[in-house]
Amino acid sequence: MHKRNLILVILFSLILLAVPISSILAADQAVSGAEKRPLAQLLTYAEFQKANPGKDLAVYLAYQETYLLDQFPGRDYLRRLTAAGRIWGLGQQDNNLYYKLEGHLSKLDPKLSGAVVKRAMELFNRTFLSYFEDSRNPVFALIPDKNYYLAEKGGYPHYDYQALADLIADSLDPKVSFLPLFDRLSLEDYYRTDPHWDQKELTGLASWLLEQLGSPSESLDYTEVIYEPYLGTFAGQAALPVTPDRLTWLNHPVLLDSALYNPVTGETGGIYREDLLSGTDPYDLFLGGAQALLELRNPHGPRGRQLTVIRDSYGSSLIPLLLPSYERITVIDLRYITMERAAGLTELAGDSDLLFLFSTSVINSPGAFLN
Amino acid sequence: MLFSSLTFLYYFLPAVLVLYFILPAGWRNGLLLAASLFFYAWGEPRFSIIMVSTAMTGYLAGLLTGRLKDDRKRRAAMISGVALTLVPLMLFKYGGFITDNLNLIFQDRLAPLRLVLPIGVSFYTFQILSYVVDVYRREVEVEKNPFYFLMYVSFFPQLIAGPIVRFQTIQQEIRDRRVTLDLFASGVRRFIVGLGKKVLLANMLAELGQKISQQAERTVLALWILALAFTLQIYFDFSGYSDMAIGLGRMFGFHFLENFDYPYLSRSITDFWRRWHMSLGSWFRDYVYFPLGGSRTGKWKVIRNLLIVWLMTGFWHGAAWNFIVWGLFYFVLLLIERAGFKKVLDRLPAPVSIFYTFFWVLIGFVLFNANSLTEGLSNLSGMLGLGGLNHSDSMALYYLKSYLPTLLIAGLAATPWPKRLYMSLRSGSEGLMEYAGMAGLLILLVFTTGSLIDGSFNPFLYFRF
Repeated sequence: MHKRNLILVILFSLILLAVPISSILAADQAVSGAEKRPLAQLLTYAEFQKANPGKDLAVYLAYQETYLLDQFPGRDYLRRLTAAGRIWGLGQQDNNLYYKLEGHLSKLDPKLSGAVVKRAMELFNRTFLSYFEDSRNPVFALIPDKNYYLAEKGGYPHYDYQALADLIADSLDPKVSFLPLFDRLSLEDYYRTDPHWDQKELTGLASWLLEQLGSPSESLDYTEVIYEPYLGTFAGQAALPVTPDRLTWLNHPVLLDSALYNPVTGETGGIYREDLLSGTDPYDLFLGGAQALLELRNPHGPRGRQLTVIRDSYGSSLIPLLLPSYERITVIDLRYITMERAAGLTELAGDSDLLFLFSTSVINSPGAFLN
Repeated sequence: MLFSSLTFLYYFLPAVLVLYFILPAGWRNGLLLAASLFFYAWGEPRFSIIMVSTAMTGYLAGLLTGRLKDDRKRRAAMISGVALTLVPLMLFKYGGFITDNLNLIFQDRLAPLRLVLPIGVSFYTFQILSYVVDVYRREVEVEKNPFYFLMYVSFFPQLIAGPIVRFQTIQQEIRDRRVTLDLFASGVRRFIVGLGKKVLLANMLAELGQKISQQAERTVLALWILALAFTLQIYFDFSGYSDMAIGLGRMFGFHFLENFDYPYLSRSITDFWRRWHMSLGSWFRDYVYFPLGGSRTGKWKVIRNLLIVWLMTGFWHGAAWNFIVWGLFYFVLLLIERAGFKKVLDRLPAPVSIFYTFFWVLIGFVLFNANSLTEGLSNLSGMLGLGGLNHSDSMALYYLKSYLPTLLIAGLAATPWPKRLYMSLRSGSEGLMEYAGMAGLLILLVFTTGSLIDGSFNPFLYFRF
């Protein structure tokens, strides 16, 4: 008994001491690759106060707790272990709302909020009537999130997607065509480890959308460029074992010659930002990720033909495929900028083609939009 | 600082343990006092002043009471000490409740008092009160060393969520104690088990409650799941904390008394309160019920005494009407048992009387867990199917299915059967089972750490007291 107690005490002490020692020896990480977020850094009280004016010592101490959590040795390994324990040990159906089915990770989104959707639709109608009433072919395309294809099959709770589509159809200005994309997509069109769709699966959809916008489309011979392994945002958040994806982007001389201008920052660059592949989220490759306002200029596009896309992040990977049919595409994300501010920063063409492109998850998300 | 935080587990505790065992014996109390003050100040530095000044009030009251010879003067000193010790508790915990209710009578003439509750104020106040009264009763020696007394009050294992340790329990050990390897190892075992109860069971059950509250509709099933999850959560939360406190105490050579004895296997409400938060029950018995005359008085006086004790028990748990009604609820149940129903319960088969007790405890916790008395009563009526609620919805069913194994494990862990099974296996092959148990504990520690990293939901329910 005495010997066994000695072993227990030694092992307990080793575990308790190993953590602080390895914390001191290992350098702090700036970003969590798995969780796609910056990690808290060690700050002195003075540095903390400088960064957070008005916050007292108690808040600083709470921040220290966050810092230790973020920089804990073996953090990702322990998160995966815990997720496995929950799913396979305790038989839980999801881990922090994330579940895995048919090799895909998805996030539960069981509640439809009619009020939230209506508020979003009021914003879109206001945007249309104030800025784009002269648009030739205004279109609203609704992208289903992955739950649409997975939840029912796995017995996971989900809302009635048809009810959401009906609500949008009823609320949308009658001059705007409503195009739910439920039947035009399938689960295979999405990444396994990320909520977004896979650009290489979208060429057919892009052609069809161009038709709906009344814009001529030509079949282009794209070159596939691949980045792998790609672990999307769901992979890190779910912490469940999953086969990594391939991040494929479609390139073409037209796209290589095109330019992306950011009126907010004044920066100009390419359509695909390969420098961001090593950042927190490789999906930022497409149009530089979360951007409030962008102008895409195609020197080979039909002269004077313009498109405005009011979009969420799904738009980033689809819009490059629409670009060959336009001379200019203006991209607005109302989650990060108001229409008033966007109109002040860029020249909006009221008679351009207009595409509202939103996923069900963003439309149904409270407080997603700025106004 | 929380025991179930990485800061405590992997930085504070190893640092204190290492220093404790390398320092000469004469320095160790000083280290524990400094560590305890640091531990308390980590959460809310400004409340340390209140804790230290309340402790010093108790110390001086004890000193004065102990020095006086005249009984009247001793009594006056004790009463003054008790009254002064109660000031922070009354002000911070009950000030808002009192002004709110007076404003109902006097039509908002008083400025409402909104003060943040100092962590653990109810626990350390009751510890100090027990000392002052015990000195008056000559049941404990007066502590002349203010640092020893402050260490007793502020000792971090029991400072913020109990158990309510009496001075006489550890007075001798403050001066002279020995940490043997076996005692330390038993402390490690107890601490890890407590940590697992808190992090792996209580937090998981809290998560279930939170998900049901936020995502499911208000249905009969959802309300029953919430009630069951909270009843189990509060047990694992509080008994887990007590286990950790007892375990930590042993690591530093202290022996705290037990605080829980499988209360959900109680066969009556009377039995339940002998097994639930035992340090609080015995406190009210020794410092309120017995001084009022206890049971050795007339029938009506006994009823009065019980009423006072249960009103105070409810009020101790929270300054709100739902806590007071929760206390009265137990007063009524205990009165019924005293009137003869306990004899009936004793004769019933154990599963029936255990179910009876658990049912009423669960009903009581619905009131306890509510944000107001109205909400508590509304939840109870909803559980009975009143108010036109649907029976269930898809979310409640989904989470019931998802957390059913957790609920079953929690239910099993609330009984002594897993421990008994381990002991019986161990008696067959002691060495092997000891190593298996040790491996199990270390795996538990790793999973607990993973859960702390993964989960952000980590409240201690009893901190609000």
